Parts: sequence; structure tokens; C-alpha cells
Amino acid sequence: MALLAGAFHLVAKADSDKPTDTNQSDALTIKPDKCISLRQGLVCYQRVKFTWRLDDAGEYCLVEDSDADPIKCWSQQRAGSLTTEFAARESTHYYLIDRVDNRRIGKATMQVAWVYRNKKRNRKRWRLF
Amino acid sequence: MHTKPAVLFIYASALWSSVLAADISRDVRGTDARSESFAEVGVGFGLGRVAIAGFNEGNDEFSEIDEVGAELVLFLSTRLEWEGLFVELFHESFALGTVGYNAWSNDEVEFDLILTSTLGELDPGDVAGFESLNERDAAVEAGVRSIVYSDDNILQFEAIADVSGTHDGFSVSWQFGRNWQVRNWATHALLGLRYFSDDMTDHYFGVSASEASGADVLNAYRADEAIVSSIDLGATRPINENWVFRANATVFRLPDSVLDSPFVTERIAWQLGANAVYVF
Repeated sequence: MALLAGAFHLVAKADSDKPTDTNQSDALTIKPDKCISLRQGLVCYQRVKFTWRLDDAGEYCLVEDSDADPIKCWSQQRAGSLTTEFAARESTHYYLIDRVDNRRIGKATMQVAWVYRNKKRNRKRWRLF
Repeated sequence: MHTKPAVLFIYASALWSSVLAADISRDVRGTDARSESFAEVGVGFGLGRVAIAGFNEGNDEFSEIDEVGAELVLFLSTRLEWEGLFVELFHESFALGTVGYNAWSNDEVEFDLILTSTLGELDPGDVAGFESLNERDAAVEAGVRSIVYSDDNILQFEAIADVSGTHDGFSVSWQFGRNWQVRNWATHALLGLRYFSDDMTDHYFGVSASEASGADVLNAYRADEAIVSSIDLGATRPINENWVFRANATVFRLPDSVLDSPFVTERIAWQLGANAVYVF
């Protein structure tokens, strides 16, 4: 029974570490929200500005979905902004999280688009023989 | 030296303006166009000097043929490909147009059988004093083309010979291109060497005895084999998902066998171009 309770505690702790989605309306915005590269798969570069605003002051962090480390945190603030350099091959989601309970309270997406898509190539082929 | 405006509809019809580039000239701009169909149209501005009588539109006097020409250009670039058969019309290419068959390909190498027309036609008789010079017809050439892709480097070899009986000559070319990404710009360098047999150069730049006898400023001239070297530097940047901006600078060194022709006046030819291209 104690073993079962211990296992339940571990699962519950793991769940609390994971960010939970709540209201992700327009608390966080990114401008511009699209980066155009010449060809699919190339790193796309864009100077961007994140802006967030909430009703209550708190401990908030801006994070990238694939990265556990926050990009920037604000303490006892109800609004903030960050101008930074975007560089990625694919579209990327960003979240504003409440540092106290790890809730996601805002979401913004930087889209990566391109002019020329990468072509699928045949591995090897003789057409003449 | 001053600039004269002129308008050309199909830029690719220019004779020497395309000597620099080859069919890898599009891929080296980061477009990854090989083995696929595509179409794009462009509008732009070109500035250049190719001091060959009859080449620069609007230069009607011998004294004018080394002047700088300015052009507003509208162009179409396309490649249609089906089951290995392809048709290419590249604005940046050496060839005016190419049809071919892709005999072998993998991720790094392509080997094509091609039918093409490279140097086009030239009509030096349009220039005052050169009326006795006949028009130089375009030839149809057949041969092989091989392209090797290695990371950001591209190497192309091409060997073609006249099959239309126009000049019975042949040419062999090597083109090496490299692409660098600088933020969202794709920059490139394209080096070229092209050998022309004497039959081919003489067709364009020789002056026959009968042509010379009809003009005061011309002597008979037999052009020899030639190697034209070139370098093309450029940059391409997306404007949005359908529009691309391209700019390039090209310099070519004309060989003695061309330079000694009575209707060629400068060894170095060059051009600058800036285009906005719509990609379908």
C-alpha cells in the first residue's frame, strides 16, 4: 500500500512539473509573427518583439516549447516586453508561464514559411537501361 | 561613356550576357530547382557593357559599341519535367533554352543528354559601316551535361557540338558555384570556363573576304579557338512567400581570338542586374 502511495505521489509530482494550459488568448503577442526563408529547411532569421500584459502582477516567464530554460522572467510585473533575435528552421511556439504553478497563461507562434520547398529526390536511378 | 536606355523583352536572347552562368546558375542562388517543374516571372533593371558590334541595342555606330547599355527586363524562367524529359528556359542560364533527358540521377549527381542553343544569333550588320556583315545564325547543339552537388557547392560539366550544320563547332564548359547563407540572404559565387572551337568562334567573330570587301573599316579575319572565363557574384532574398529579390554582378574576360575580331573593342565585358521575381 505504501508502495502504491509512493508511486501515486511520483506521478502527481511529475504532473505538477509539466506546464498546464489555461487561458492562452492574447496575453502574449509576437511581432512580426512570420519569418520567410528562401528555401525550406534553411534557418530563418527575424528580429521579433514579445509583448505580454495581464491583470495581476506575478512571477512570469517566457519559454519556448522545446526548451525547458526560460528565455526571460519578470518578477512582480503585470506587463513586459522583450526584443530578441529569432532563428529557427521551423515554426516555433512560445508560452508565457506562471512561475509559481507552471501554468501556461499565454501562447504565441512564430511561423516559418519559405519560397522554395525542398524537393524529394529519387535515391538512384538509371533511366536509360 | 554614357548610358543609353533600351528595353528588351526576353533577356535571355542577349548573346554574351549569359556566358557567365550555366544551368546551375539557378541552383547556386539557393533555389533548389533541379529535377522539378517550376515557373517564375521577373522584372528588373540591367546595366552592362559587351563591346561587340551588333550586341548592345541602340549602339548603331562603331564608335558607340563600347558604351554602357541600360535595360529594363521582363523575363520568364521555367522548367518542365516529366519522366526524365525536361525543358529549361532559365533567365540566368548560359543556354537560351534546353531540352533534355535525365539519364541518371541520385542525391549528388545528375547526368543529362541535352539539346540546346547557347550563343544565339548576332547581327553586327545593324551597326553603321558594318552593313556588309551577315547575320550570325544561332546553332542547335547536342551533348552531355553532368552536375555534381556537394553541400553548398555545385560543379557542372557540359560538352556540346553543333548538330544543325550552322558552324560545325563544339564547346566544353566547366562551372563551379558555391552558395552561402547570410541571415535570410543567399549569396553566391559562380566561376566559369568555356572552351569554344575555332569553327564556332569564327562563325560569330570571323570576317570573310566578301564581307570585308564591302566595308571600309573591316579586314578579313579568321577567329581562332577561345576560352572565355567568367565570374558571377550575387545575392537573393525572399520578399514574401511568392516574391524574391535578386541582384548580381558579372564580369567576363574575352579571349584574344574574340578581341582581335574587327568588331570587338573591349576585353572585359560586365553586367549588373537587379530583379524582383514572382515564383508560382
